[in-house]
Amino acid sequence: MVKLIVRRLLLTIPLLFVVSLIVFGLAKLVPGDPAVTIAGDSATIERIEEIREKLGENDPAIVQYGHLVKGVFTGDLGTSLFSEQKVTKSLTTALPVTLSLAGLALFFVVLLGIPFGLIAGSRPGSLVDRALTVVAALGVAAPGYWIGIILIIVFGLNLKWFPTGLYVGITDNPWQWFMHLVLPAFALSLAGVVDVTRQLRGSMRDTLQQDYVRTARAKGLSEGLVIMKHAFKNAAIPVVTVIGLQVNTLIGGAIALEFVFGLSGLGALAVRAVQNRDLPIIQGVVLLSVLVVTVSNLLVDLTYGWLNPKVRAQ
Amino acid sequence: MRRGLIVLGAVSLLVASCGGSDSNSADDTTSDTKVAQQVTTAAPVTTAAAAASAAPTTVAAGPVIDTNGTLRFSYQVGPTSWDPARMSSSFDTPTAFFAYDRLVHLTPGADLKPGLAESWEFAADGSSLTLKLRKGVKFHDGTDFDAAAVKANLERNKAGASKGELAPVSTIDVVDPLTVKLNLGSPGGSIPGVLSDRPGTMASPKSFADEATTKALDLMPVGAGMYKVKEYVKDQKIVLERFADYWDKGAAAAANVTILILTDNNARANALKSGELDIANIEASQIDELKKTFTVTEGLSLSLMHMQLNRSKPFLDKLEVRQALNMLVDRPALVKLANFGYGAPTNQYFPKGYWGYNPAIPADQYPYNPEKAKEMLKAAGVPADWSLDVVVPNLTYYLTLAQAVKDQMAAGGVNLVLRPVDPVQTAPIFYVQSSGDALISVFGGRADPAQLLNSLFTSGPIQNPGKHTLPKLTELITAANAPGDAKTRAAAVQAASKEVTDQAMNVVFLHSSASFAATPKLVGFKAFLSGKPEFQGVGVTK
Repeated sequence: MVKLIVRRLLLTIPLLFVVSLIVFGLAKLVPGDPAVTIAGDSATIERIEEIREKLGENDPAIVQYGHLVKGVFTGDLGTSLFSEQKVTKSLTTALPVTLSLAGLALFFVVLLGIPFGLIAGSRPGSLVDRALTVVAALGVAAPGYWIGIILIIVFGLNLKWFPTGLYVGITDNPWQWFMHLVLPAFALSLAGVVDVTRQLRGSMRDTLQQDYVRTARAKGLSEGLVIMKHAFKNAAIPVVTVIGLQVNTLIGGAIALEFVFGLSGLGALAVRAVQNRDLPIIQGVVLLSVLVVTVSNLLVDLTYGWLNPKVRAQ
Repeated sequence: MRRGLIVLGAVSLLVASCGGSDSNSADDTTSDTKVAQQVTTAAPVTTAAAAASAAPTTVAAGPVIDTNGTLRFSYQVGPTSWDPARMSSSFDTPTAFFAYDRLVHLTPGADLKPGLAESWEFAADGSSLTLKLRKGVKFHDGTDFDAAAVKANLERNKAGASKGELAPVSTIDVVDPLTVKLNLGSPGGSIPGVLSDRPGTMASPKSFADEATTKALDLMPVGAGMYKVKEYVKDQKIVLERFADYWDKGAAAAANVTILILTDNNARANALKSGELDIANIEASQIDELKKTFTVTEGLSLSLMHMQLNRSKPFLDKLEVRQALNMLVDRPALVKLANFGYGAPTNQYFPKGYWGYNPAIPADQYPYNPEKAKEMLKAAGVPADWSLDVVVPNLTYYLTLAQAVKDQMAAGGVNLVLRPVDPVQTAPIFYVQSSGDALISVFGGRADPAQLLNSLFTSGPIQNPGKHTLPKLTELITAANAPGDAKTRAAAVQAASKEVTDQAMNVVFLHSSASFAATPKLVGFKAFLSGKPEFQGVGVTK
């Protein structure tokens, strides 16, 4: 197991290297000159040139990339082009917001998706199953940010049950942290809830038709025990994959919702950085996202092993 | 969705890059008929005698401000930097001026009044400007504010982001601890106005004494402002507390201030509606809805929308062609169409109520008349299938406005080929590369009207991509830059402004306004013609 973890983490290094090369290349291909933005309202040609020189924009691309890579290897992702803010500081400020949002959304995905999937899968064709299928179709069709706006209007502005956004640190006030994140996390989770529901429904339907389930029933076990102990554990393997993939989707989807709810997470940071062509920040956000996704995929793989001894043996 | 979101953030970048200034310049606009708060005007204060009327902030009778209260404000962007020498956007000041003080202050009508400088006077020959400084002022770190601090700050700001604004200042002399003399290498009539903005922002000299402290200054201000920053999370939040030693005791009316940086207009409005804010800046499209529940303060600002012409391009160097283009625009219709009826149609660069405004310029100097314009274009030898390559920042508001202008001009046979560009790319494309015949965009106000005239109509700055100038206009602009008393300067600026309109240098559409929505708890807030909110004497009730 340890070997597996170490091998997977080592594989991340070349992946990060390739990703950084792509990000750097894309950032250089996209037109834009941070020097003009930094020069501001009273820009003069001389001032722009001064700034360009200071930023190293006049260096050959390979030299610029070299600086970037060197920084990564020395644990220093550099400083924003626009301020003295360290990239790591920007990331560590924004990351808790996005992780809170995505984490709570993932919690909702599991909390709602699994019971819905179990109910629909264990009673296929029933009224509940059909109703959940309709709701699922709506959930897939409606984009998260639109749901977010509707939630703000209904539960934030009209009913006033929840704040309409902004972020409160979990250490500052855990209850307010939760309350401020309920609406965006719920909006973000919907597509995942639908995915998990559909996946588990299909998986449960297949599993419940297996011989060992029939045997369990023949032994006289209660339906609850059959579903939860025998069928669910096996049906859950493909669901774990879906949940694992949700981490990537949730982090990506968080970008739009962060804006709608006024949350300053990685998404907001990335958009600002792209607008400004603030390469060190873009690079930092992408590398961090790759790391989060890699780690989440690794966790999924490890969960397989826990759920299925056959995988572990391999 | 994402486009909409990017719009808001990008507006700041655009304005920073193309020389704009006002936060909502594009979207927050007001019509003549809908101006809720009239601003009054007077000429700028330029002499010691006139400036002596400094009075501390007093809170008007009415609701009682909770002196222990917390004012919660949201703005769309925070400061680009807390280091005055690095502040590059005019968006910086609405948040930065809580923590920083500057040499000259502004009245709501954009007239100058004493700030850290109690008075100022030009030498009789205009070769220098002498500032008398306020006594007993301290920076947040306890350092005394004096002439040496002013010299150090101005020299740094001139070497940094304020290079253009402070260009007329050649050297600075400390006359005595409370007197500083700015020697002017070129006409510096605009300098007192300039000192009311970022260039006149004073940081403690200790904060930029060495490289380490200078770096720290970028992320934590050490000013002499009415509030002191307690916590700053870049692009997210600024938490401030009253600075007990501030010279104007009534200014910091609230004990604490929390500023939330929220890029999205709806996020700000929602935060206001759900009770998390006391005041937020809003856009024109939100005014009517928010008016039902909140106190909306809005008034004209110096910011405007225009079609800037590159007059070095074919036909655009001809007066009659430019006049014809001006007659192909139905300005009141644009205000209605693009600005929800908020904003003022105009054909001059300075808004009504401002000392640069010239009442002698007829509002109907270029009436909408496609037929006549067509004849004029024909007479000027313009081909029937004439097209103009028009650069437009790729943001909903600008595209809406540009499309409306395109439709109007089509009636006169002029085909505008709109070229939407990434907002950040606007300045490099139109100004630096000199690509495109025209640019439809915002032009933010400047602290002094001569700065606008210099930027757009003299050959030096990048904001005049074709470098096209006219001898008479250049003369008038030189006169507008010359030091003088209020009356003389107003007359000179107005004369130059009239020449700009007479020569149809560009096609000006409308003046925008800055709009703010506040809960009834907010007390003392006023619209500022600068378009940048100021919070002296603003607080909340219990």
